[in-house]
Amino acid sequence: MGIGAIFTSSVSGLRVSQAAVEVVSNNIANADSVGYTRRQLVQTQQLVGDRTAGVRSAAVNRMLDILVQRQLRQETGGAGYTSVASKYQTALDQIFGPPGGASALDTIFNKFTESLQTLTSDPASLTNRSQVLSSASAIASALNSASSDVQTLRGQAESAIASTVGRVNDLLSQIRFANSRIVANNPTVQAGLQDDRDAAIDELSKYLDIRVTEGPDGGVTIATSAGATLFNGSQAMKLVFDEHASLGPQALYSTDPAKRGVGAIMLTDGSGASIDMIANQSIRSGELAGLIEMRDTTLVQAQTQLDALAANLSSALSDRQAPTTAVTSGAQTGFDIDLSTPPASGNAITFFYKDAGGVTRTAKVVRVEDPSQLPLPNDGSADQVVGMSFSGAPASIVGALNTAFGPALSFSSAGSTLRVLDNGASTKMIGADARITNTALTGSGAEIPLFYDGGNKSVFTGSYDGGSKTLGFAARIALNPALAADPSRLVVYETSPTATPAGDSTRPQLLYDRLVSATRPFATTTGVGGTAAPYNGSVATFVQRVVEQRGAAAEAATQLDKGQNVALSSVQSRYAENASVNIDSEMAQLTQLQNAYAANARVFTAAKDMFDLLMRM
Amino acid sequence: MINPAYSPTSSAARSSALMQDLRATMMDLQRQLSTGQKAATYGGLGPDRFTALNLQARLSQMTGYSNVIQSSSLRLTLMDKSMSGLNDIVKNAQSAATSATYEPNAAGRTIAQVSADDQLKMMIDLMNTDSAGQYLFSGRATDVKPVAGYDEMINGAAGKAGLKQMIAERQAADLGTGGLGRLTPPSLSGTTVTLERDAANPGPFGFTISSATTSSASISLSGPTGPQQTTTVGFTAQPADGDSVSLSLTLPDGSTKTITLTASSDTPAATGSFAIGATTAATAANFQSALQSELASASKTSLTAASSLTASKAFFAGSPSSPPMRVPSPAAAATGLVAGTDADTVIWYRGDDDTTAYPNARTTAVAKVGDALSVGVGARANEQAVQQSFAMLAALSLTDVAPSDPDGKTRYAELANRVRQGLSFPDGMQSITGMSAELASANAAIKTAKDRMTASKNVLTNSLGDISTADPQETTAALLALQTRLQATYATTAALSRLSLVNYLS
Repeated sequence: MGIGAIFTSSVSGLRVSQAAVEVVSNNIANADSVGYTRRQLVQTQQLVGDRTAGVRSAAVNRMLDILVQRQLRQETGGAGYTSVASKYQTALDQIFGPPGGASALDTIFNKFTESLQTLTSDPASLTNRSQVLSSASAIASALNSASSDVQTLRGQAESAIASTVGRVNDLLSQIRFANSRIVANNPTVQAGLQDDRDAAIDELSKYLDIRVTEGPDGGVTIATSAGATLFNGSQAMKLVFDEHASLGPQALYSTDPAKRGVGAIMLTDGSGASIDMIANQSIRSGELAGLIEMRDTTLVQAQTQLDALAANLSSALSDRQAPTTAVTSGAQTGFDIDLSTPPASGNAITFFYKDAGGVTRTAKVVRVEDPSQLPLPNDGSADQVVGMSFSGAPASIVGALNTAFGPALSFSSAGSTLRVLDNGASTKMIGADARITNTALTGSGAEIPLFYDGGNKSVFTGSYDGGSKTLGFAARIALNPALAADPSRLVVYETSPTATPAGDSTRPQLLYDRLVSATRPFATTTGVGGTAAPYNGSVATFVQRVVEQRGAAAEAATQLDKGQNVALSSVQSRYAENASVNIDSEMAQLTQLQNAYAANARVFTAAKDMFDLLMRM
Repeated sequence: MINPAYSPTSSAARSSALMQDLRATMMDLQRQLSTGQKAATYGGLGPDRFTALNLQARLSQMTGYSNVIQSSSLRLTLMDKSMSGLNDIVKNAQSAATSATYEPNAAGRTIAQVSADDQLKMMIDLMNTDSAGQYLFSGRATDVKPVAGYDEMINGAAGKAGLKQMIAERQAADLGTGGLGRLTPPSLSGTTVTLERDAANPGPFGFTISSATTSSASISLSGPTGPQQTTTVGFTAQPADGDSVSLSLTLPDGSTKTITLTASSDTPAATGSFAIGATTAATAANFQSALQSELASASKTSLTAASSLTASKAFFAGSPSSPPMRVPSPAAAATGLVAGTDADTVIWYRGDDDTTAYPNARTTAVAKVGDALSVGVGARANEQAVQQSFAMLAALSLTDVAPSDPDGKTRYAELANRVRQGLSFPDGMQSITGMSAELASANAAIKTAKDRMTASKNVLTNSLGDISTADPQETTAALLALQTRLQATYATTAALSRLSLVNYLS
């Protein structure tokens, strides 16, 4: 070993120190740069043969924990989902107004029932009557605006999906660009490109749940956790979303493109084949999953609840019970239902019986005059729901009824009377309830069509003809204009032979009782009271249940989002421990490197002195 | 371009997010302090939200009940005033209507009659009481003034008969063409006097002979028998002085007039007796003429008084769905009553009269003041007690008892007697005090409901307050604590940002 070797190793030391200072200076300069991970220079001894000949810089490493990074992306996806859910659920909750506030749906409903109570005390009072009418239109318009708010939120979700899909496509092409350069370039410039690519993937994980696989050449492939490939290492797939402008209650998602009223996310691969990511449930987390769930499930359910509320509010007041008398025939027991006023399209007859196992069953037959709507889906308001045409006398449906509900129940008819009997042995008839909607303000009992359908300008009967009229009814419900034109009909329900006296409280009392004390079954599709059996309650308690459920859902979503954010920030801080630049440690390292540089320079000077001495000899 | 918000490495971003959280909490506390509400939505109310919703609904229901209670109380208070007014009138009229005070004024009317006029007018006013436009004694027809005006009621309106005309018609019908209350003049045949009703079916008018009795063995009686209630008085021998024959006649108002004729040897025989003649035939003739004059007098007094009352009762029994029963023309020969119509007869009561569906007038207005508590607060001006009071006072006022008529005083006595009895509401009949008592008990029930309501409303309001109202002390304390934390965070952040090795290297 000679003096020359000392020169070489001290110079290599100087060079490595310089390179290290360069890394430190980059770290410090990029301390606040987005997506930048801290770099560290790795130095190793320079071997010449079996001898150490100075030092060399081996690599510039990104300080990154791959495991934490993967976890971070998963949590980011989760946080994306929960934040969307929380945002929309909170907005939905706000639609129902502040607790006890004048604009709260339940307050408006309570005001309506209160006005009916007041009317009973003085039915002839014009003030009381107009109070009932104005509070009835207030509840109708509250439902209208709640419905339109829900649909606005759905529209927001739709356009948010559109812009998110656009962003996802941008990110995928960024990733493709960075990836191709990483694979092609030498390792020295990789760190920066990797940072760039990782930042794009990090952001992508916010929108979708992704699985990233890194290949041996440093390239990555990206797929959703359900397995749909988004980036295959060389080619970025394209997501296409056909945004629908202005959504209404009828605009619903369907796997059938012809029936779809909202956009679908189509994933097109290189071969041009495309799949519907919503139908395939390819997106399970991230903002997109949250937006899709809001648009197609949560907000649709909220609309269903509003529609059920509007429909039941209207029917509770307008539907009268057809006269029903108990009959027996031999061992069979049952009921005679007088259908001399035929049920309107959408009206239903419900039969209650105990089956062979002693379990109470409900069978419901609904009048449907539009064959394209048959068979009717069961909305969960009864165990069995069958739709059929009632155009003729009861005789015309006896056959169909026997087919639908036999042999547990048997049906026969005489004139306008429909008879239903149990089988006389194992089944036991409990009751029959035929509801017929009053369409006129007087002449058919104390029930009154207080509300009507502003869409087709007729009394709401729950008809399915030409599509369910219940769907979106909350958007169309309005005060019956015939009643607005003649408020006396709030009290007068008979005009012949003598008109009902103006102070008769029969009708106001009936209306109040129908809303507050009479119970009705609410379809399970409303999600109130579970999915197994219909919720049985009054219209008033249904209002409370709906508001409560929306509030609870909002609270749960907010809590979930908070929890998710806690999890996310703990992963974030673990990630940052490694990856982020700490100015203090960089400065300490800088000082260290300065010393190393000075020391190497000192060695170099010493070697030079030694060399000079040697030369003077 | 990478969105910096998604960068996981920016520690500044994370600490600022934390501070934003704190600030948001602070804003919420401030909102609580200024609005007094714990949450701005039901979502923020926490697990108690259903309770809050329920309480709100209950409170609203209570407010509804309170409205009902308020209007019903007002109604009942006014009704109570009307009823006590009515009661006073009835009591006064009853004590004034005595035969002892027959002191007609210049117009030939007694003081009781004159005051009955005013009392009738007052009663009309009382029955037409309204509470905020709601007539209280109209049953369900609260928009209809229940009782017709005094003038219309008494004198009739264009083409419509009033009470005066109905009384006149009824009196004519009861007296009949012969003026003997639809009896044929007693006929004499040998020693037998025969008395019977008009051959033609006299209907419900005039006298009906219910029985004939005698204290004498010399007098044989038969009847009343047959469709004409033929009654004969035969003198088989001369009656002794003091022997008497009594004929019981039923009047249209159901009361009984007994005519007792006593055999007398005085000549001329005094009123109420007949002279014993030389022969039984002469005695029979004397009996016949005495009977005739007694009948004529009874017709002008008892029968006319009873007739007035009957007509008055019939008039006040009329209501829109069953107009009063009238005497058809010609009245003196009428054989039955026919229902009047709204076109030809004044119907004094115009309110709701559906006694089939609402047999009890209280149920015509029902105040629902609790989930299971309904109080009947309705009333009708044609309820039996009110009807009877009107009928009695009107009959008293409208019967002619002028002293110019020799029978005036007796008629007044008969009338006053009947009116006094009628106003004491015989057993089985609804009385004014009974009606008042019913309304008073309704009022008491409502008062109890009100007290209970106030109590439970307080409980509900308190519970609701616990759930949804933000306690200002608590909120202020939380706000202060939060402020301290936020300040500390700011201070630490500032200190940390200054704490850098850079500052200490030279």
